[in-house]
Amino acid sequence: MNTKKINNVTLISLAVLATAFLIVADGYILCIGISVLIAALLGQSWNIMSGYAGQFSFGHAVFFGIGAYTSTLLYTMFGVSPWIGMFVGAIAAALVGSAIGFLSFRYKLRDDYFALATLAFAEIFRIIFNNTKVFGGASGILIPYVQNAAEFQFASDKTYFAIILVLVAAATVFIAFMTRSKLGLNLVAIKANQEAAAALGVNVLKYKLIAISASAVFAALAGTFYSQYYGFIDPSIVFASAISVEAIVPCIIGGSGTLYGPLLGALLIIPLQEICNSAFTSISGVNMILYGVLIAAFIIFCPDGIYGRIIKFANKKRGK
Amino acid sequence: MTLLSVNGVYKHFSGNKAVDNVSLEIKEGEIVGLIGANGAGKTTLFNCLTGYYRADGGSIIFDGKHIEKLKAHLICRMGIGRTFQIAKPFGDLSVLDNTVVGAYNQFKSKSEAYAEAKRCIDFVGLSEKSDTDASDLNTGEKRRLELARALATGPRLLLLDEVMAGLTPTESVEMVELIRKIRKSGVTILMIEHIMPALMSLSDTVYVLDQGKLICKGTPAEVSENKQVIESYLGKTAEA
Repeated sequence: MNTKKINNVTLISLAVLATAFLIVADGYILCIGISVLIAALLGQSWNIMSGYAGQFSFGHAVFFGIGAYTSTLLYTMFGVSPWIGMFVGAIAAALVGSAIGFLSFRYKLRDDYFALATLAFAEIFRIIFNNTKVFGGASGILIPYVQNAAEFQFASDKTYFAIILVLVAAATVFIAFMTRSKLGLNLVAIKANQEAAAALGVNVLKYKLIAISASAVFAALAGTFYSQYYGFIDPSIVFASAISVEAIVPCIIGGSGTLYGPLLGALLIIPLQEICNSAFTSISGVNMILYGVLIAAFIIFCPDGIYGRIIKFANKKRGK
Repeated sequence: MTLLSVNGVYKHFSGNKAVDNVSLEIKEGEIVGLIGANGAGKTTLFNCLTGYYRADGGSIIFDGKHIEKLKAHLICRMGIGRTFQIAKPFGDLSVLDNTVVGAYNQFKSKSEAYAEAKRCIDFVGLSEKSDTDASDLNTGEKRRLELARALATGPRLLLLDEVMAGLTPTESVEMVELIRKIRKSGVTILMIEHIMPALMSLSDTVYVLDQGKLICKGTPAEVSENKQVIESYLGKTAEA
């Protein structure tokens, strides 16, 4: 089997799984399904800028939080439907992403130092929102419950599941097209060696900014979805490093820089985390311990991630 | 016609004069060799020419335009391609995709870029490896890939940084032929090389750098008889 075939088999399996799940699941299980897809969307978002373009983000919460806050504030302050707010948030996140990227790359931050800068930006946003009364401050914002589809609120969790499924599909389609285009090639080239890429005429700064912006868009969409689904946000939730971690882990486990890796990663870790949390109810943060162990284990023993390993294995076999 | 003219370029690294007031001229269609001992400043000069470093002073004029302040990707767009001393393939990409990255410098459309990439891969004799991941190539193939990528950008001037390093004798002979073929196709070449017979047989003009300074310029025959050159560079290799 080649990469294309593996991708197709995976796509069909995932589609069947999601459809069956949508029909059968309800209650608690459905909630977990939605959590899986939020992690999957965050993962695909991270995948674009860090998996493909190699610009490691440790602060994806900044984009998630901007998405969540933009749509929520537009709704609670001005009555703008979150359906519109979602796209405004995505644009805002893309702009903030470009600004972070421009500042970081302008001062030639690379690798670990760039990752630290993204972490710092997420913290800066958390602190700003924590201390700004108009934005609800540390006590956060409760979204008034109206249960109206036009206001992005639904009675059934199945509808939420369908919506986040569409968003994940959109991110995945974007990546699929990206990898076949000049954009995708340039990003992978920059990841491999940005000096060599520049010597071949690639405008490295421009493509890095495109990667960050595209990545920010999908994280922001996840943020808006999160606020609408849970109905409440505060800075220590949506700008939390836990969110940034949740963007990274599915990629590391599933395979960053692969089309379906983050989806598989999310599918694996979220249920695992739920099991851990219910098994150790008295200890909070078991999921973080689990994440830590899993990341360390995968980086040491399986740096390509599950999906990356499968593809490499299949291609090696074919080569022989 | 003069294609590249370098006038009094210097580059200092905290007091170390890596490139010290270097001037040189390359005519269209020439193969120009650049030699010098390790640390003489050859690669630093290349890096200044290709926008990798910004020269601290002096001017670089390519095809009548000042390029000393341009960024690397814009210099590539102007028509200067380069290879690296240590080959830098994009390991996760196939040979074809590696080359397409370069071809997009010339062509907007995907089909044209792929056609040009294929042509360049064919030109360097790497067609059979077209679908292989770059990380799976051997040293000689990686060098060819570097050439294919650089050619795909559509350069008028190609800067080769030790393309023969690490090659087997057979591969070196093939590389010499390939470089001749590249020149024949209308590309001007500036090359750094330590393999003297290859350089001497290929070059029309040779420049010699020593501790950042240009100490000699001439035909291969003239340079190899120059006392200063023998003392600072050739002599050492002859003894060794």
